[in-house]
Amino acid sequence: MLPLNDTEPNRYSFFPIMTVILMIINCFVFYIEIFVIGDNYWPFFMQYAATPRLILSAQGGGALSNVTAMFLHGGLFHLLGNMLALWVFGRRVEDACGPWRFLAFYLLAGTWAHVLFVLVQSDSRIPGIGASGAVFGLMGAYLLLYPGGRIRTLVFVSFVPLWPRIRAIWVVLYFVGIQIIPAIQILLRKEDYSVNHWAHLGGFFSAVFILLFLRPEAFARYLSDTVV
Amino acid sequence: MASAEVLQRAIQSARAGRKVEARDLLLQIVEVDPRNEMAWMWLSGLVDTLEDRMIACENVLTINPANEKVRAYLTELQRQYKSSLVQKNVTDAIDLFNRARVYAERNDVDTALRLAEQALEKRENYEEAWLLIGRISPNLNQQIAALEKAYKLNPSNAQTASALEQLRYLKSNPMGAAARLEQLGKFEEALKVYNELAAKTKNSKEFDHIYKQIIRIEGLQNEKIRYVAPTSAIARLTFAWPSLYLSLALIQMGLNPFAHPAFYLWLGLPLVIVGSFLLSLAEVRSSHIVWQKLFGEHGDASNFARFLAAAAGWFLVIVPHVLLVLDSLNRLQNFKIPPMPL
Repeated sequence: MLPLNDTEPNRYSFFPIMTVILMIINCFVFYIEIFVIGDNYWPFFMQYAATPRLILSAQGGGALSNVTAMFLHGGLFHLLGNMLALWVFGRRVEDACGPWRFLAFYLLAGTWAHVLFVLVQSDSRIPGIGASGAVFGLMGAYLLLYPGGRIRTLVFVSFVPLWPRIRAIWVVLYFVGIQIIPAIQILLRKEDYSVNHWAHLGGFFSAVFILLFLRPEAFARYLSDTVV
Repeated sequence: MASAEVLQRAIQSARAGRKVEARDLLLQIVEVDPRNEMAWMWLSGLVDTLEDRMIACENVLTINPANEKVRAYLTELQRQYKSSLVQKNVTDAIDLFNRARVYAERNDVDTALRLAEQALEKRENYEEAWLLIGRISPNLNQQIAALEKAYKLNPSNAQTASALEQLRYLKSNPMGAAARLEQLGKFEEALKVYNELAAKTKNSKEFDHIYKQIIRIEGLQNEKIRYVAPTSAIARLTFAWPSLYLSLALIQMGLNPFAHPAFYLWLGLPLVIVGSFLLSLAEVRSSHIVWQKLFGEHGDASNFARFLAAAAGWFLVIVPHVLLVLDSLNRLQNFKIPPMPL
């Protein structure tokens, strides 16, 4: 299942400028990772990624590393998957917040993703990277704001590609659902996984903060049970 | 029986305290002889109401304008009558005003206004009634006129002075007035103001902008959007940036604010709150006390005042975040990179 596009139009703004800027920064940082840092990635990640042991011992970059970690990616598909989700779920969330508050919410969701990651895997020395925590925050926010929204999604039925418009709730629940079992396994076995499932869940649950970031008109609509 | 005899009997009855009998006899006399001065004089003391006494005295004076004693008595009666009339008007006015207030609380503005106006007919210098009209009237001119009267009656009332200034500001800035009505959830009234403005600005540059506002408000009306007071919108938005700063500060302090106390991080929080408040204030159109205190502006502030508030807000929000980054960079300089786990 691959979400491709949110088919509904914007209501308040013409263009999702901050979403696009975030996508450009992510791509630019990935370019730096590949072509400038190259094989010498370990010291770079230690300094600019979110490592639970370092955060808990107040070593390393702290808040700065927490933010920079959101722009680092471990591979091209990691980057593309996150950017696609950022575009699909971020556009209308930005529309409801305005660009600056959207940025603040994005960073907040990414931060709470790291907070949960650090709390659950406090002994881990594996650096956490990727925009996925923040993107899961956007998914949660999208679900809160547009529960009736429909997402054009690529699905394969017996190797046949289809792209129906699926209700956002099913798309989001699918992506959150596939985090739960590995997250429980991490908790029980105290093992490090290559995918940061607890950060995804942390980002998703931080979506409740979105109500603080909405434009006044969008908030009034949210309270009035009309489409935000 | 001759009228002189009847008069004597009436006087005797009056002196003996038989007032009703005396009055009946005197009335018989004046019916037959309307120019009987003595009968009218005695009657003026025997009739029940102030009005009847005054009529009797006036009749005496018509017959004999030189009767100074009766003239003086009539003047005293007139004074008493006037004072009783004023007292009655005051009581009536208070009663009408109290009813007007009840209707105003029930949002029945038309009835409340009618009753307040009736109260003012009874007692023109009724400050509270003028204030009520100034508060509830949907007509800006009527509001201003009412508050002017109230202010004239009591120039020491600072609240009236401030409200009056605010209304005058709105009168000179109809767009601001319409935006304010919209904030208060009074879409109908806002639409009325915009429609009036549209009629005035037809064929000018402003018309397009006003027309867009009309379309937007009609849309809001159709959607039946719930009214959210500007104060609560400002309060909600004020918490947005501090929630981010607090999260970042917690990460910086190793999720334990007591183990690694960083004084300036906590000092930054109130700055971010104030900055976020100013940003919210600049965004939400409202007649906030800050505009009045800092810029002396009534109603929602001018673009310049809002620009200043936004600039100050951004500064206060960004500075603590920059301090966080500087602290992080400082930590990174002293950071020994651990070896890669095998």
